[in-house]
Order: sequence, then structure tokens, then C-alpha cells
Amino acid sequence: MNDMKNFYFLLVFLCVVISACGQSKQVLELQNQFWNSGDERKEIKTVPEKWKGESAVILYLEEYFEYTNFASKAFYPSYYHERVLLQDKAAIENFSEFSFGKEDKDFGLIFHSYQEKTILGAKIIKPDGTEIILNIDNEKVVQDDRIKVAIPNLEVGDILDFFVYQDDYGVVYGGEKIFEAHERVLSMEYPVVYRKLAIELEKGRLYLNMDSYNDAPEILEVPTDKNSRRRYMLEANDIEKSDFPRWFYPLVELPTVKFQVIYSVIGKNSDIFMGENAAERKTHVSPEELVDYYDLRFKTYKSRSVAPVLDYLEEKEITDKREQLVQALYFMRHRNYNRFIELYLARENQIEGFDVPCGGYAFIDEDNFVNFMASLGKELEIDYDIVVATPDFNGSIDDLLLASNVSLGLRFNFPKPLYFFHISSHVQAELFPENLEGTKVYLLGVKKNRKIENAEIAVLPVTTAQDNIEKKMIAVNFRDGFNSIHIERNLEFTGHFKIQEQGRWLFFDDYLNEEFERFDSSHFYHCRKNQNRKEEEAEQKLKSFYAEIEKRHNENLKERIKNVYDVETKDYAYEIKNSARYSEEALVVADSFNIENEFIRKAGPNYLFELGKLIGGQVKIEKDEEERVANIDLDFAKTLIYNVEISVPEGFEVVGVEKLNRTITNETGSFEVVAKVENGILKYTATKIYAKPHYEAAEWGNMLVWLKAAHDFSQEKVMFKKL
Amino acid sequence: MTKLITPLFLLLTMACFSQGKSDPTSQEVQQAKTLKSEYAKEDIVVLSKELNIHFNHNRRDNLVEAFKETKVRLMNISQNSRIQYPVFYDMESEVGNFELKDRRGRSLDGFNSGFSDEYLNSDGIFHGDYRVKYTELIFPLQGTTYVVETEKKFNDIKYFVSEYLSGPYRILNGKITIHIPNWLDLNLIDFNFEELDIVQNSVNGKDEKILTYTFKNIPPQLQEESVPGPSYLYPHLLFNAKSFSNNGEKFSLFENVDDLYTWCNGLVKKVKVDKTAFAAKVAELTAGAQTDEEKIKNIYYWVQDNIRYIAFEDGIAGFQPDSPQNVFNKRYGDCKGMAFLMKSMLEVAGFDSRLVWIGTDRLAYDYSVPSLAINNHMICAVKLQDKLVFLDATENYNRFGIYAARIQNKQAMVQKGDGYEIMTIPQNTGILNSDKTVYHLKIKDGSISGSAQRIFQNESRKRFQNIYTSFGSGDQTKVLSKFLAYGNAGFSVDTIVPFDVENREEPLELNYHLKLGNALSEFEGTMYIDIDPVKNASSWIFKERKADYKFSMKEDKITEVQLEIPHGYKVGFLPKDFSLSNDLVEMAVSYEQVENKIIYRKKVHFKNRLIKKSDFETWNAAFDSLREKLSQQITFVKTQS
Repeated sequence: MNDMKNFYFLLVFLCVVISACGQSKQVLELQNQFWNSGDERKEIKTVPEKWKGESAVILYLEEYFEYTNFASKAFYPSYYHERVLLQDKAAIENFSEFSFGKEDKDFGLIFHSYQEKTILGAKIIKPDGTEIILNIDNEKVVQDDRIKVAIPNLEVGDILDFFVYQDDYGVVYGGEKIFEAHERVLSMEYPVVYRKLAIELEKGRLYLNMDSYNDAPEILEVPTDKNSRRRYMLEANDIEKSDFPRWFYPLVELPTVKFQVIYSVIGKNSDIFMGENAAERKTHVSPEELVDYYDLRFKTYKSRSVAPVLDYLEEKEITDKREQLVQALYFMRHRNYNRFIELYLARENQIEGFDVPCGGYAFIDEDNFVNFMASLGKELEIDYDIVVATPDFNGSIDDLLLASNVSLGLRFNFPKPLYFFHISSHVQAELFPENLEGTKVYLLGVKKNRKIENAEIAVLPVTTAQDNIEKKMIAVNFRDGFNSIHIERNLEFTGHFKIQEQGRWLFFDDYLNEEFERFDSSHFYHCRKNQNRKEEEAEQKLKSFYAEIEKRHNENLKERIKNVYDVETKDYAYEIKNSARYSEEALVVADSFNIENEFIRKAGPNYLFELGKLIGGQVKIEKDEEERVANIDLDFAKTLIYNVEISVPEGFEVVGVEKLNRTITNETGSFEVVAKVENGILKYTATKIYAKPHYEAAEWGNMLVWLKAAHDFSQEKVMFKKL
Repeated sequence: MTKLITPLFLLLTMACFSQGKSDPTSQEVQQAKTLKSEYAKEDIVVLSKELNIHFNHNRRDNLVEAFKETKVRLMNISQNSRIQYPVFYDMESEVGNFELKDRRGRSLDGFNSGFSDEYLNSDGIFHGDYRVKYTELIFPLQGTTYVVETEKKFNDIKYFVSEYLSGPYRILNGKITIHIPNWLDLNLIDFNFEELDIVQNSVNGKDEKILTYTFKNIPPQLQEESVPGPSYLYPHLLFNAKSFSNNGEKFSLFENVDDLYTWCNGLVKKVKVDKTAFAAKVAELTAGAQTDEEKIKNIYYWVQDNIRYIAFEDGIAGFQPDSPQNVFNKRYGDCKGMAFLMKSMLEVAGFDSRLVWIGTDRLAYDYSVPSLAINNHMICAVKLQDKLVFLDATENYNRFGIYAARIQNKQAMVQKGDGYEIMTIPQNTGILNSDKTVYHLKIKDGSISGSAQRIFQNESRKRFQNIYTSFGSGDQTKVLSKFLAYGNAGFSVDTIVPFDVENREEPLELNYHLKLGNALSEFEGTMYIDIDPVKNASSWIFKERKADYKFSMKEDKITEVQLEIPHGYKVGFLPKDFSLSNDLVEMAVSYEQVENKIIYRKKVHFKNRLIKKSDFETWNAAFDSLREKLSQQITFVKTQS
């Protein structure tokens, strides 16, 4: 995240009213506070030699958040102060215009948020030391709720020193206000000489979760002027600019700080993990706290709540316990999720008057889903635990601090456990989200389906490259001499590939209808035996809408194939052979298309064919990527298989097949090609395996070998030699 | 994660609304189907558009007001559509009635989602006064129709400059009725009416003349990149309000160019100029200069380099320049402010300098019609050795005496003493815009590598400099390496020799090393070589484009490759030379063996900036021939040792 984004981030959810009175007393006071504090770090004018070639260097950056309260009113002024040396024209362009405004207001049921004023101050320090303080009122234009400021008189070599002060407050009606959680890496788009982040809270009703990670400096408590307050501060020096290489989790690799504040009257039972004492910094969440926290939210419903699922299982005569859960999930995916999407689409299209799709209700959050599944476990007498996990891109569960980082789910305790974390249109029973795989989690034990009573550590299983397979069978025929290439593909996807690809290939109305048939249920407009006029109209309008979005769906698939091969394609057609939504079978799709005047080069009477391009674009490692210090984080281990069959045109023979063969393999993965000509068909199988989802940086060298081999193969040619 | 599903279903609880019982009749459905079969790529058509324009004399302000009353019947010909119906306005105009009706003419007020009214933010404009009032229309069924009625008022007829007959949707039947009162002298000029079914009629009434334009089946305006300005493409009327009379007294508006100049220059005269603000800077810039040209250049380049262009189009400010001292002190301004600063600095330096109003090549107009519509830019002119040289300070990296393609050959209104003169900006003669790369390559260890020199001249140079400097210093080398590789997956660039990106007096040269990983194949002792690393012929072919294409400049693209024949090999096959020339483009490809090298040359000369749609077939055929030529390989075969 770059500095300007951070700047907008500060402002984006707030109602902004720029102070109307130019250089008012308050403005002057703030200028004095920011620019005349006597703090030498705020006066830096030079940059280290190593950063002289950078576009800009942030000399000083300070963020400050204050939280106090009076009765039911919470005050939370904040400021952002940045001093940046602009070293080229691009930096001047980047810092010469500011735009901010109210994007949203927090008008919740229990908390009203207001903003009294935002004050922006800026000065320019010329290379000769001359300081020019800008009168922002003279430089701004107001457009509806947005304010734009053009910073004048900026030249290369100038220092721009600016601050944004916001005076916000809110009235709490319902006992608590949870402020937005912040998770930020310390590095930015430009290098930073010095950076400070401070939070000050009034003792009493304000609670803080805050810590730093990944070798970020420690957060220290520093004294304040007032006994009634506490201040916490992080200081960092010499921060190189952000570098975001491919396959990289910034919150895991880079120095980071996380914090969140809550105003609470009762001091407990919040939706975040609260500390014991107000104004004390909470730095971690213990297993005991997790037990208490989730116990409060956990309950199993009465049997009538899960009766529709039980009835379905009974009707289908499903008795195997594991199968009962698997089929229950698919039933609920339809009944409690996908049917509601249809209703949502109807509302979006102004089809009025339908509150629920023939009964039932939607799962509106993870707690709701987990409680329902636990209730089902209770009724089916299947042992389970609650799972508290956090996705791998957030870091380890050991560093858990923010409730918003939790993924909550269940483990049903079969010899090979079943994990359920969420519901979605194509959720598969035997798979849980890939970003939870291999993560350390807490298993919360439930006593008598009533009470969570203990937490123990476990590690979630990991799918392998044999589980997640994308297999493409590609048949190639030349037409019109070599001018046109006709391609027919048969595509199979398993594991995590399957869920991703189902989202891309399957059209909503198609799979919803498939579900209606399977579960013997109906569209919301067919709930009653005799359709009334309103329902008839709803059906007609929704069908019309589906027809239109199906057209767009098909257009997207056409575009996608162009991107896969990076050429124009023609006559695209596809067919879903097996949607595989209720089993572990592969999703199977067939498609066909033509490519004209590409991949072929003339060489006298012969032709060179770029057959490597048939496997689509492969990762190209640029020179500056070859050295790597960050670990490598992929989504999941995977295998990509391309079985290509090219009909050799009559009157030609293929030359160069043997040099296609290659095997590059090590413990990080592999790339292998086996090629031959058989019965007038040039056949090759290219297999690329990413053996693991996560690699140490030291393994990068081994990965490069087969990644480069795959890329090199994608550039390979054979010759069709005229006989 | 905890609120994973919430956003979706919270929306279910939102209040919804209906647009009434406006379902289409079977005839309408049939009509929509028929239209869809004819216009498969379109979703909405305007069945009918009625526009009434009339005028009123505002006695209090002695201004002529213009009123537009529009009634549009829209039909959805697709299965389902959703559009935003807008009315644009600004500080000189206002939107009155804005009403939605169903197919039966019943008002949908209270049922629809309401109107939004907000500033229109455009790329490249820091602040403008353009606003849009709009409503969202959902057409749930094929054949659904709505009627939209709007009223718009221009407070001063000077700002009522044009009316387009076309819009975002095809118009099947349209009628514009213009009531011109006898007290108003209004001239209408039509543009791009050719080949369209537009019938004009004129009736003289007692107190007014009624002009009607009846039109059928006007195609929608196209949303494509690199198109000529809309005034070149779409049918429209240009309004030139010359004068009006009140109680026997005549008041001039824009009767001739004198009036236009008086009005434009009047705005300039209102600006208080304080030259002391930049006098010292002018003295500094001219101190060491030996010649007048050098002095002018120093000032011109300083303004280019140090004054940021920020566009303001705010009411009268769209025509009125900021004061030169303000622009100088702030170091930013729009074209008017930058031109005025240039003029003022040159005056301080003792030169005869003038402001110049001009319409860029986006506008199809010239000074035969005095209207505010004909200017959209301001530059400066300076007299040097009895000749006027034009200076456009908004053109970063522009060389003195060279004119940007967008203003060449365009008429301009140039200050002259107390008056003005109409001049035409000269074309750059003998100046080539070119992007040329010369590669010196060798074959070693199964791949091709070597050095290259890429040279940009004139506008090609300017374009490169502008793009390059838009990236921060820390990222420039990485971006440049990719740029030089033309997106070719096997092409890698390294060791780019440092160069002077600020120099605008000389062609810009880039020297670097490269490796071509995918250009060489060897079969049965024969090397097959893809000698051109820049195979961009296919990208010039217009596949699905509908609108004319306009290049930003005329340009030569030149590639030359000198490839050493490896030891132990000789040339097996060289493709035949190729050349082609037509009115649009000239191209030549040649292969030659000179001693132990193959010299490959490719030149594509883009003759015209505008490629008309009617020329696409010729254009595409030319580039298809080039593509076919470039797919041919040269071969080296082993010599007998």
C-alpha cells in the first residue's frame, strides 16, 4: 500500500468539512504543532545516498489516533503528517493534487458518526531552505462533497510537508462502538527515513488491541501529559520502499502493525477480542479467551430448525454419517444460499414483493452457519469440534489479535475429518478454503452440544499436487493450408481448480435449475401451485435478465480464451460435460475455436509451428526476479497437464520432435515433456507440478529451474517439412 | 471473514420499488425482436425523439435565453438492460423538468430510484463546472419502453453552441423544431448530414421562423479510442447567434469574428497583470543568451518544464485566463494561463508576443463561423525576425519552432495591435516523426544477442519523453526494459546506457543490449531465424472497429537488423523483398547479404493521421500482406567443411 493510498484511506469514510476560516487560530495552532515542535526528526532535509535515485523519499511520517469519551460521546481526532522530498517530475505529479471527500457515513443503528472538520496544512521547503506556507483555502475547489487541492509552486528538489487533521466524534447509543481494524505494512511506495504511529486512549471505556509483527519495532508505552490517558507508540527508521514480488504475502513477510479500538460501556461481550482493562494494550489472544469468546456465540438450535435437512436425508435414505453431512451441505448450499442469490437478483432488477424463496432463510454469517452445522451434528450424533483458524495471508494463529482475521468452522471427527468453514455457490464438502490449508488452528471442544470448554492446537490438512489437477486435452488440426488452426479441448478440473473453474464456467441459472430438479424445489415464483399474475411477471422478467447475463457470461468466456493464448480467436463454442457439483468427480468442459494466421512461420516450402504456445502463457521470470529474499506463497499445490495432439498435415513430416522432450524435477516441483509422432499425429504431454503451496526463499532457485523450463518450452517450435 | 455472507443478504432487506405496470405489449415485443435482429449489438433504441428549441429575451439582464424541451421514447431491444439517462449542464445552463413516464405516458415519479445530480469528473480536468443530472432506468423485458421528458435552459445564447442529432442510442425517428423569433438573428450550420436521412424544412410565421429537421435511423455514437473529434463524425447543428433586437435597438452577439475577438480579448483585458512577479526569472533566463531565438527558447522551455498543466473549465473561467503572475507563482495553470504567462514573460524580455485562440484538430470548425465552439485551446505567438513563431507551452518536450500535430494546419485567431488576424498554424515541413531501431546481432550458443540503438525523432521523441518521465526514477529502468522488448516473451533487455531524457534539441537515442530467446530454431543442420524482433503487423489490423481511426501523428516506424552469419554457415534462404504503397501507408521490407551479414530493413510510413472506416479494407489488406511477409524465416545452412 503506498503513501497516497494510506492518505486517502485515512479520509475515505469520513464526512469532510474543510474549515471555512482560512488561516484560523486552530490552523495556526496546528501549523505550530506540526512544524515548530523542535523535534529534529521533523526538520530533516537530506536523504541517505542510497535513496538519491528514488522518485521521492519520505523524510518523516507520523500517524496519530486519539480516542476519548464523555458520557455517550466518543471523540476520535486523528492526524497524518508527512514530509516528502520530491526528486523527479513523476513525484511532483504524484503529490501535486489531492482529492478527498465523504464516501460513506457510519450511520449504524447504535452509533452515529460525525466529523466536525478536516484541516489540511501544507508547506513547501525550497532547496535553499525558503519555506512557503500554503493557504489551503486559496488552493482548493469544492465539488459536491469532494474537495480537491492543487499544490502550487512545486519543483524538483522541493520538500512538501503536509498534515491532515480530522476532528471526529460519535454518539454511542447501544453500549459499544467498534472502530475499524487497521493492518498495515510499514513500508510504502517510497522509502521512509522515519515513521511513527501513536495511539492515545482515555482510561475508562476504550480498549485497544495492538501489536507489531515480522521484525517491526516494538510498540512502547510512553508517558502522556494526562494521568487519565495512555499512549502507545511505534517508531521505525530507514524503511526501504515496498517491493511486492509475485506469490507474496505482505502481512506475513514485511514489518507490520495491527490495531483496533473499541468503545464499550460494559467492557465485555464485544464482537472483537477485548482486553481485560480499558486503555491497556492487548497483544495476543489466549486459547482460554477463545473458549470464552466463542462459547458466548455458540449454540445449537432445536431440532425443528434443522428438520428440513433431516427430512431430506431421510427421504433420500442416506444413512452413512459422513455422506449425511456431505449431502446436507449440498442441500443447504441450495436451500440457504443459492436460492437467496436468485431473490437478490430479482430485487436488483426491481422485481418486487418476494421476501423469501418458498421458505427457509439465508446464512448471514459464519456464526450462523457454524451453529446450524453443529445443530445438525447434534441431531445426527456426529462428534465435532469448532475450528478457529486464520487464513495464511494473515500470518499465524499464534499472532491472532483481530476477530476479523478469524475464519470459523467445524471439524467433524471421522477417521478422515470433514471440515466446513463457509457456504458458497460451489462449496465442496471435501475441500475447505485453500488459504487455511496447513495452518495452525485452535480446535474448540464442545461439551454435550452446549458449551465450548477447551481449546487445543491442531494443524489443518493440506491438499497435494495430485488433488488439484488441471488437465487439458488439446486436439489441433490445420485448415486452409496453415492459415487456420482448429482447436478442440477437453478440460478437466479437480480439487481447488474445480471450485475456481466452476465459478467461471457454470452459468447461475443453469446450476440453479439443476439444483431445483435435484432437490425437488422451485423458483420463488413457483412456490404456489397456481401462479398468480405477479409471479408470472416475475418469472418472465427474471428469465429475461438471465438471458442477458448468459450472453455476457459467454462473452467473458470468449475473452478468456483470447487471454489464455494471447491471440485473437474465432468461432468459440463450449459445452459443460459434467458440472460435478455433488461429488468429487472432475468438472469437465469441452470447447473449440479457431486461431488464424498465428503460431505459424514460413520457411521456404516448410513451416515452423510454435507448438509450445498451445499450453498457453507460462510464468516468465524477469531478470530482477531471480534474486529473492521473501518466501513464496502460492494458493495451493497443483498439477497442470497438457495432452496435445496435432494432426500432421498431409504431405509434410515433423522435424524436431525429439528436442521437445525434457524432464526437470526437484523437490519443489517439475516440468516434463514427452513427445512423439504416432500415426500421423504429433503427440506431446507437458506436465508442470507445483509440489507445495508454500516455499522458503531458499527454494526459489530450485523453482526457477522448472519455471524457466516451462517458459522456454512455451517458445518451442517444430518444423513441418514438405515431403 | 466473519461477515462473509452478510453484504449479499443485507441487500435483501433494502426497500425495493417498481416502475409500474409498464410491461410491453405483444406488438412492442415483436418490434423489439425485429429491431434486435437488425441491430444485434445494440441494446436500447430511441423510437422517437422530439426536441423543441425556443428563445426568450431576458429583459432584466438583456440576455437571450435558449430553451430545449426534449421528449424521448426509449425501447429495450435486448432481453434486459440497465442504463443511466443523463442531462448535462454547467454554470451557464440549468435543468428544469426531468420526468419519467411508462409506455402509457403515466408518470413514474415516486416509483423510480430518483435522480442524482453531481459534478462530472473527466480525466485530465482538475476542475470543471460540468454537471450531470441522471436517473437509472431498468428495462426488465424485451420491448419495455419508457418516455423521458427533460427541459434545459441556457441563460445566455452565446453558450448554446451546438445540438447533436445523434446520441448514445440509435434514433429511429427524430424531429428538431427550432422557433427563431424575428428579433433574433440566428445562423445554423449543419455538419455531417451527408448520407443520412435528414430532411430540413422552414416555415415563416408571423413572429418567428420555424425550422424543422426530421431524421430517421441515426446510428449511435461510438465509444472507441483514437477517434476524430465528434464534430467530425456525427450529425449536428452549430448555432451562431449573430444579434438580437429589442425595441428597435440592435445588440450584437457574435455577428462576425470581430465580435468573437472582442469578447475573447475582453476577458483577457480584465486580467490585471503584474510582471514584476517574474521579471527576475526572465532576466535570469535571458542573461546568458546570445540571440533572440535563444532567449525565447529559454523562456519557452522553462515554462514547459516548470509550469504544470492543470485543466480548469469552470464557467467563464473556461475562456478567461488566470493572471500570469498567479500561474508563475503557483507553477501550474491551464492552457490559457500558460499562454498568458508565456506572452507576458516574452514581453518582459522585450519581444512582441501575442495570445492565440485556436481550435485543435478535435474540432471540425474554422473562423467562417464566429462561435465559442470553434476555440478549445490557447497558445502564444512571438515575433522573431518579422515572423510569428507559435509556442504551445502545454506540449512538454516540444522543440522551439516545431508544432504539435493537433494544431498544425488549424486556423488561429492571433492578437495584432488592437485587433487580430486569422492565421493558419504552419505544417512542420521536412520534419519526420520517427521511431527507428537498429540491431547488431550475433548468433551464439543457440540464441541471438547483441546491441541495439533506438532513436526517436520529433513527436515520437516527445511522446517517449512524456511517458518515460511519468514513471518515478526508481521504476524507470524496469519499465523501459519491458517497453523496449515490445511485449515479446523471448526478448530480454539489459544494460541500457544512460541517456539524456530532457534534451529536446536532438533525437533521443537509447543504446542497450538484448537477447532474443525465441528467434532461432535449428532443424537438420539448418538455422531458421525470425529476424524481426518487432512483429507488430497484426496489431495494426482493425478487426472489430467501427469508427474512423486517428493517429496522434504521422510517423515512420523503422527496424533495421544486421545479423552476422555464424561461422560454418551460409545463407540458405532469404525471403523476397516486399513493398507496398497506397494513400494511407507505405511499407517496405528488404533482405540483403553484405559480406558476412544479413541486413534486414523494414519501414512503415504512416502517411495519414486519419484512417476512414471506408479505407479499413485497404488498410487491413496492406497490413495483412506485411504480416504474411514477416512470418517468413531466413535460413542459414551448414557449409561443407
